[in-house]
Amino acid sequence: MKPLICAIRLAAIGTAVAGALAVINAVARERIDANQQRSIVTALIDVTGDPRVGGLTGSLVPPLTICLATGMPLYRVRQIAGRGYGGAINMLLGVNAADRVTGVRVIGHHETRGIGDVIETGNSVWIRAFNGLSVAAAPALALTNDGGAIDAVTGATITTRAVVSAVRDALIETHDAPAARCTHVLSD
Amino acid sequence: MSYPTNVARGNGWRDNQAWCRLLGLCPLLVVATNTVDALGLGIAAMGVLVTSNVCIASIRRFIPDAARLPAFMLLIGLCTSTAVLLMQAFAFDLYERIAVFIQIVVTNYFVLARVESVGQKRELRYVLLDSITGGVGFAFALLVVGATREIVGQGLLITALPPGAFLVAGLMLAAANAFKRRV
Repeated sequence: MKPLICAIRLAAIGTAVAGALAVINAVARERIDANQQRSIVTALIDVTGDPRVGGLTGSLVPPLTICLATGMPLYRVRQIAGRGYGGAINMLLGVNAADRVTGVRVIGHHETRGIGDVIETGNSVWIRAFNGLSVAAAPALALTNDGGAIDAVTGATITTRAVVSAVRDALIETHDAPAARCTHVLSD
Repeated sequence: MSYPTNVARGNGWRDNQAWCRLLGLCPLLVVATNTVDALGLGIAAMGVLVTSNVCIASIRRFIPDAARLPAFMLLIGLCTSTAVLLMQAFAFDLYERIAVFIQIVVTNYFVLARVESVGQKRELRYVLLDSITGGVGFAFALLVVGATREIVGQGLLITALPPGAFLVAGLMLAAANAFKRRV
């Protein structure tokens, strides 16, 4: 077969593949977007502890400042990351107007299953220990091993320490940052 | 023994891709920590194997011989991306856990090996039979490793850790070899 014909045929296959993929993507896209939105909304309800957040629409990519209709800020949600045993641990951190933690939730990690995954809400209540803590607690916001108030987990010291220090750093940073503008308004 | 039974025995058991040719071990060792994830990946890999083999078998006369590898990769890539999109649409939770490993099915040599040796050469009927039995065999191997690690890992933690994957896969290999002498 001549090289030119060979190239033309390969190009034809490439074009057909691209076209087929575009069609499949277009068909599946709506469902995929809905799934992604639902998973973000579930996480947001979890870190704010407020079911009204479920009614928010539009882009929900953190950082978010969720306010009342009066413009009073209620929650700030940001994405934070710690360096765990298996790499980055990505989390969502929610704080209320008084800079108290409303929730921390892990949205992605590579920690060892069965050990480091105690940070997942599905496996343990450990991560709920942050709820209600504020920047005033920041000096004590450390593992019991390090003289703090958060229980260390046997076998998962590196993982839990990474989560604790990421939350502590983020709380201090959020406290020092100027009030952010409202990105979303709760309608009740 | 009838011809299809023979192929099924060969692909699913005697020459199982995972424990005989040792192909596709990356997902086998990394993802198969529990039954559900292992089964999810097994089914996805089987789907990619079957669809890409069928795609290639049905246009094999059109694929230029000199450029067959890039053409295969394009088609396997299409099937893998389709599997990824479908999983995102219909099994989102599972997708979030094993996303990367579905995506790298495309580079997994066991798909290309089947395409090279069977998909591009044989009739569609045979290709279908070959890829379904091969895929079921691979999914079965994943399931065995995943289920073992999930059950034994409850008591014997090492099994749930990465080294445990090698231990379990090694034992599976040994068991398959021991059985094969008799069956």
